[in-house]
Amino acid sequence: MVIDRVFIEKAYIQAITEVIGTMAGVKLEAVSAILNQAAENLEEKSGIVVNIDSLVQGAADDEIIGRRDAEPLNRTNRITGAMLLPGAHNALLLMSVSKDSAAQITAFMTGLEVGQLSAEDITDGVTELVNLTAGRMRASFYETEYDFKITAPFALVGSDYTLFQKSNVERIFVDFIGAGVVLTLEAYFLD
Amino acid sequence: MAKILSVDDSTVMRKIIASCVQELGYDLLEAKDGLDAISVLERNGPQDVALILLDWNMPVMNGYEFLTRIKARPEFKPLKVMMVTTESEKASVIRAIQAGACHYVTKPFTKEDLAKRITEALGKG
Repeated sequence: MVIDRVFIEKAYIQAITEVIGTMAGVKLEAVSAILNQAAENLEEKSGIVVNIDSLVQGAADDEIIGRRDAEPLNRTNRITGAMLLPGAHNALLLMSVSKDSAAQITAFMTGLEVGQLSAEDITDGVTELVNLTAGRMRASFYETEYDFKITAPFALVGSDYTLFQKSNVERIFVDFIGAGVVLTLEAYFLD
Repeated sequence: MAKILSVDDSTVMRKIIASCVQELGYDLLEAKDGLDAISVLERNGPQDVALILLDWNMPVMNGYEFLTRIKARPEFKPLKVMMVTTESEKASVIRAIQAGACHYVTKPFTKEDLAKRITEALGKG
């Protein structure tokens, strides 16, 4: 299977930045332009790191987006939100964060303190973030070969788990780093 | 006090909406899916419900089915419904409006945007 990695990566980066920015009440036209320009310069290999702190501070493109080598994620003490994306290219979308980061993200989304959130709230926060991001992604992919249907998001919670894929499964992954939080977005293209 | 009913399977999304609704001075009713929302309406009566904020994709009964069911019941038909959903396709918007929704908001939204749309839907903009 051949997929347009750069096109998909740009849509993913744009989607999650828009979701986070909208929740923070930030206007994102300028941010999107910077991300698009920076993504244009990427070579087609391995994963991406997006530094949200550098983005907010207005740093140079190469400090905002970089590449990292592909490695299986160790999911110790992490929450992974997931959604199946059925379409011409069936895919599995995963969004993985540490439990502490998940609590910070959910507090940010709701405007509540971390201490006011239950374990269920925190898991639901990651699941809802997947839902919102998939919704934004779908707008980018609408009427392209990567268009997909929104399905029910779900979460994987555990102390130590790793995903391994068959070698013929295409994988895209992007790390978002900011405010002490690392959020990894992955997509597995299944056929 | 007038009430707003939030129908969404996500507890986090209901908390986000609750914060906005309460700042506007309305009481909040909550339901986790369409079937639950019908129970809430039957239990509370429709007379104090000024607006329903309705997600589309939910288990048990989705938002579209809930919308068509309440619009088929004379006692619930006058209720104002605003879709609040990640479904952003034009076809989905048209389908919801044709089924009786009065407004359509796509997620994610800023609290300010949601507050503005609620105010508009209630004819107070």
